[in-house]
Amino acid sequence: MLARSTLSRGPSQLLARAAPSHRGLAATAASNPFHYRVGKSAGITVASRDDGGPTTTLAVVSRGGSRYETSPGLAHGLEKFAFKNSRRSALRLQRETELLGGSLGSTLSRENIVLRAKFLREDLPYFVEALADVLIHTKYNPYEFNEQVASTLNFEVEKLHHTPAALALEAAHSVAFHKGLGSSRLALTNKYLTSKSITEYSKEVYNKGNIAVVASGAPQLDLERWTAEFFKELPSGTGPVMAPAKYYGGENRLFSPHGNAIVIAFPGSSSPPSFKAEYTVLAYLLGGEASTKWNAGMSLLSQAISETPHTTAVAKHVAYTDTGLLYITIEGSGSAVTQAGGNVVSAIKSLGEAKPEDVKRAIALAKFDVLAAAEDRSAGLEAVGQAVIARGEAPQVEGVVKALDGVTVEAVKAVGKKLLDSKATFVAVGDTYLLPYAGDLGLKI
Amino acid sequence: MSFTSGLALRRAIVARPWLHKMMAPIAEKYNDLAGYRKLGLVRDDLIAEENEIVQEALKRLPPKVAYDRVYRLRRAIQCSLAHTILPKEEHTKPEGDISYLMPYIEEIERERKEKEELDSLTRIR
Repeated sequence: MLARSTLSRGPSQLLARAAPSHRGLAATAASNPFHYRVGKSAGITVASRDDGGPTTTLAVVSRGGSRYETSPGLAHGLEKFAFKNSRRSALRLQRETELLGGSLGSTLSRENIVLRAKFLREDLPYFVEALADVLIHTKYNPYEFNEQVASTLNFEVEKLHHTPAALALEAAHSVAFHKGLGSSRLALTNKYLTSKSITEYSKEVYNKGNIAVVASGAPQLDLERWTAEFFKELPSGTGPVMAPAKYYGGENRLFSPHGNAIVIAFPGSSSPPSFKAEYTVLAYLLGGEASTKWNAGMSLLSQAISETPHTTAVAKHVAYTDTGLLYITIEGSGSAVTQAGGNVVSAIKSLGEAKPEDVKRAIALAKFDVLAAAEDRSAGLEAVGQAVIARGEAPQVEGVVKALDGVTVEAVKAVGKKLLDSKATFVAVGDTYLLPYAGDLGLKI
Repeated sequence: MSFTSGLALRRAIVARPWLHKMMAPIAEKYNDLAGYRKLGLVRDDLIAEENEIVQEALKRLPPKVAYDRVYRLRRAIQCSLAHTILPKEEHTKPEGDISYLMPYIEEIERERKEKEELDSLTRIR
């Protein structure tokens, strides 16, 4: 009955309620829980926000992802060497962390190596020291590489090879950006990995000018104090040189027995300051992910694949420091993917005639995701770290939301029209006998 | 009794220069008389390897060191079969008699001891 009465009020009221009240935002701006404070401590950039919660997420972001590596796989090897024997043994670190109820982890992206710790608020000094130890004192023993690191590297590479969509995205980066940003995120071979080369890379990456300590749920003063104490032995430096990324585009086909996936990608927008919110809106306009269970959703891509059951097509935009990639991943059985691919390309072509209400919906979705990610304790830390290393200031969520609000239908249409003018990137992974070529789908390569 | 229990004694002696000065020639003579140098072996080759700890230590050796070890052992076995000793110039020199395996064994024993300790750990608030 409740649902019925709510519905009977009509959608206009629902929409009105869904729209943000600007007054509310302005009133809370003074104590904005999303606001990052940035400071310097012992030559290291430290950023934090404190919402007063009982737990803290701490991250050390270092600009040392796969685009900076000097030989293939070093970044992956270095990332997997995190929390291994340092001043204290790996086992001791792990057991002590467990005793404190914390957890440690590391992630690798194309641009950053991120070391994370989640713990109770009062244990901040312990975990700042733990992360500092990883950067300063890790021993990089050759036998640890053989016994522990190599197997986890191989496991992740195996997983990549068994996931056609991930493999297609890897190949799309390689086709789109060639070397640097396009180089493989994971260590596809251990050939170039020795504990000596990893140690050298660690010295290049882990230095004061190249890392940021970012925390969510910790007071800035405490964080600066402990950073100064524990990171003071970290050598100073400015990190590896970044070769500017250039978009090339092209086509690639890989056989895989583990399923079928197509990635269609276009040049996107770089991360702030020269961030264009239109591309994010465009990704949400294309969409592909349903907001409710058991239906396809109303986005352009969900409509495009409605004729081909058991296929998915999802658009995403990923922003890097100096470039970006808007990509669509299509998964399904071989023949269905071909048909879906054709429909997806027609959907992209129809972007020039996007309806205003669709754009409005895309903006609302984008805003929700940005705000939800900002609320999440660990999701945004990498982006914040990357920004404070590069520019010394944290990207504030309000700025992104404002940019998204400022996106006009015309701007989205213009960017959408431009997409197909640029050279596309097309990667097909799976049964290459069945999968289409870019030309078959009407893409210009 | 572990492999490294002798190391503590050795360190205690080395830490006292006067004692070290006194013991060094005796130890040197003992090693020489043990005869393994005449077969081209080094002292760490004599450690019994039929147990988990030494097996793990052997796995951790760098490839070149592991290769040299196997070579020395095979040469020594050949000598033993032929009831000979190596020609004088191929004997292990005292300065070449370095402990290449003990550091690894020590490390593994330390790891195991630490694990045992941590397994029975309680947190005192």
